[in-house]
Amino acid sequence: MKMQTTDNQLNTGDLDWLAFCYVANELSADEQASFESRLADDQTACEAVARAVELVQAVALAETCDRERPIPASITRRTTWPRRLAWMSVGASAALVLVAAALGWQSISGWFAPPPADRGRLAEVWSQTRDEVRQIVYTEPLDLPPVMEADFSSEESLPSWITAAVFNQAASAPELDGPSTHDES
Amino acid sequence: MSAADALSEGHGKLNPSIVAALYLAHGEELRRFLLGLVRDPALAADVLQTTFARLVERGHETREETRKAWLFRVAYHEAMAVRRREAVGDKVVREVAWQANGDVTTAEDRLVRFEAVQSVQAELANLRPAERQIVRMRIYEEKSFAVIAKELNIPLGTALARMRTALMKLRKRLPRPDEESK
Repeated sequence: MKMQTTDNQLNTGDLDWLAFCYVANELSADEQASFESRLADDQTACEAVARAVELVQAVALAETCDRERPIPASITRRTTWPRRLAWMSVGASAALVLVAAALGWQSISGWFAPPPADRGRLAEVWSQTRDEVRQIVYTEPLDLPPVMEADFSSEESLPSWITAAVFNQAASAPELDGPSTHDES
Repeated sequence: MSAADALSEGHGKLNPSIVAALYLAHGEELRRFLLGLVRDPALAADVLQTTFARLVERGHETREETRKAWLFRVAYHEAMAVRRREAVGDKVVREVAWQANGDVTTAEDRLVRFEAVQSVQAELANLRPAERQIVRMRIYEEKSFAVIAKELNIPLGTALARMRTALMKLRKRLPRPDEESK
């Protein structure tokens, strides 16, 4: 493309246009070489190149800003229902995950329930305590009415306070196998 | 400031405050000039740095009234040397990275750029539709004038004339370099 590059007495408008064509790579190879050699010692040409770059960058940014304006409301409306459906499906998925997690938690907490072995241990402690009580009763016979003796013979007839005490001891005492601390003798 | 004041103490180099002031006054314009030459923001920044390093080393040999021209000459020769060294001659056929906006260094530069862009944006809206179309196709869509003329089915001269008219209008909206450096 032929541009007017030979005239050294270009006015500012011509020089700006030439600089723009140089920056925009619209000059032929000869014209480009000629202009570049001129830049070596022509301050005004150098400044024209700087102005051309500034102008081009400003226009490009301005056009970019124009293209990045908000989407018109009509377009937004058209995209509302698909977006709503998408969000609804996301919500349903989240609810399903929560339910699954709750069910899973129940089964997990079942894993941490006292195992049957602990119940056996509790029964063992219970019977041991009953033996101790029985021993106390038989080694130091009291004048208990026959009805009371008969009561001790049957597990079902144990008073509720003993049951409560045994269970409290089982719950609070860390070492249930230790010697009895009764000093009722 | 006297010539003696311009020199830093006994080292024969330019006073750092003078160098800083020259950078503030001409740095941005030089950077744009270099971008036009090397077409690469990173290379332009490198050459700009080298130019001011030369100013620190040799600036005391220059006269105050010729320092701007001296800076442009040094920048030009450094840019040409970089183009030869880096073999970027083939890259020069590329266009300037039009949308490179990460090359603005300071908040003040960004503000100046923002204001310039706003002014240009306002003027773009005032252009005739045919002019604006050419500007958009040439700068934003990066099409050559030959392609634009072909696509719009107009003579090449018409496309060039519209672009030139549009650029003259747009340029009036940009701050002049002497205003910018104040």
